[in-house]
Amino acid sequence: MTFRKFIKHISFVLLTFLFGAQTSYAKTELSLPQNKIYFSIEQNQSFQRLEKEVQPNIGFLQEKFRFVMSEGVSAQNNCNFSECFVGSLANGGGSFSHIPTSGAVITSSAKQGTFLIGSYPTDLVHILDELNYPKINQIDLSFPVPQGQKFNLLNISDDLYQQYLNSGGGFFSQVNGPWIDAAVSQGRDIVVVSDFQQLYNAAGELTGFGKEVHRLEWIHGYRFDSNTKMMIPQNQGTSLPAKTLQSDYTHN
Amino acid sequence: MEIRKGVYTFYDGIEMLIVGYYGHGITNPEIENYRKISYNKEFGSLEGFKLDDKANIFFRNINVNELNNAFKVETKGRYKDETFSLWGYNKNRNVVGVITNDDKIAQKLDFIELSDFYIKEVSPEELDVIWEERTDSEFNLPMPEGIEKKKIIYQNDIS
Repeated sequence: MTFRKFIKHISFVLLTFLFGAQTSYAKTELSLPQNKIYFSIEQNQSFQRLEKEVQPNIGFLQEKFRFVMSEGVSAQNNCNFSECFVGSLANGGGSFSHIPTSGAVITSSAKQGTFLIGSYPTDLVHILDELNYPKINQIDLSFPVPQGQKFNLLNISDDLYQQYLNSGGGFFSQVNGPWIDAAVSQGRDIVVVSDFQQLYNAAGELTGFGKEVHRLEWIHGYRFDSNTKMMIPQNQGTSLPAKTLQSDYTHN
Repeated sequence: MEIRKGVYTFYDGIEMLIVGYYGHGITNPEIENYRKISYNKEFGSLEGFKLDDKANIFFRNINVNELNNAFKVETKGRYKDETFSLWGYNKNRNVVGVITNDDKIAQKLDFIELSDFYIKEVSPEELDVIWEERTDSEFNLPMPEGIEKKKIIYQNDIS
């Protein structure tokens, strides 16, 4: 396809979308600067609406992404689509094309260093992929956000995990647990990206995600806020002590 | 009083808790075959086990192929004429955690909402009876020989 044909095609698709869908998607802003493609979502927009409204845009962007990449047009820009899109996400300038199963809406307003907790297979694998998030090969107990990233995720390399297995286990208590503790001690926002059905596996065991949520609730006294999909410090007035040690409670 | 909930095995003559490993970003399918088994440190050290002093347990990593029995334990109790699952016992406050997923019962009996269930702490004396239910686990392994499928561990003599 020649460049002229491509421009014509892009213009047609874009105009069709903008004029045809503007009324329906008035709260979703589509931007197409020369070297970036991203969309943003208003902070106060409810997930129920987003589910219906954003999905068509995501489909459009994904189709366009495939088209652009296959046609090699990205070479005309300063960086290719993938790099810019990932860069935008990593810095919180857009939103995820993967809709978190918790219904969390993560926008550019998210604070630097926000922790994202969730189930690996249902959500984190997609988010990590979109962010091009680096693997962690060595544990730093302050769990810094990798350079160029906005969010704090636990992305342990297989080799590091295997080291814990070889030394007798204790992975959660030595890695996930301190990671959660770091989120609390640093006073970071903690967003839940997975549905709570993922707290347990099919065998009824707590998953890593389940253990993290329990650690926040039982040890740190956090509670889930269903409006913001965040774990927040416990409100006053409940009879369950804020810092109950789950292990004491269970095994005494 | 010990309130148990989970999957257990008889290993080296001791009942041990089995829990899974679920680390983020792990893609090695072999890891799915591993579990952590643990027991109370009061039983003393066994070869191959490490001490977790904070949790008061000895633990080790084990391939599920090395297990030859397993059983699931759920502890239940009768409270206010309803049957509930119990989460545990806190010795310091002398309370058990009574849990439910029933919104109406939770609201009626003033439970606290957590991520996966509602919970209320009550004194064991407020319960009529507490028992363990032992059933088959997901490991497709036989239950230990002679194990009681239902064992009463507390009976309130007053009620």
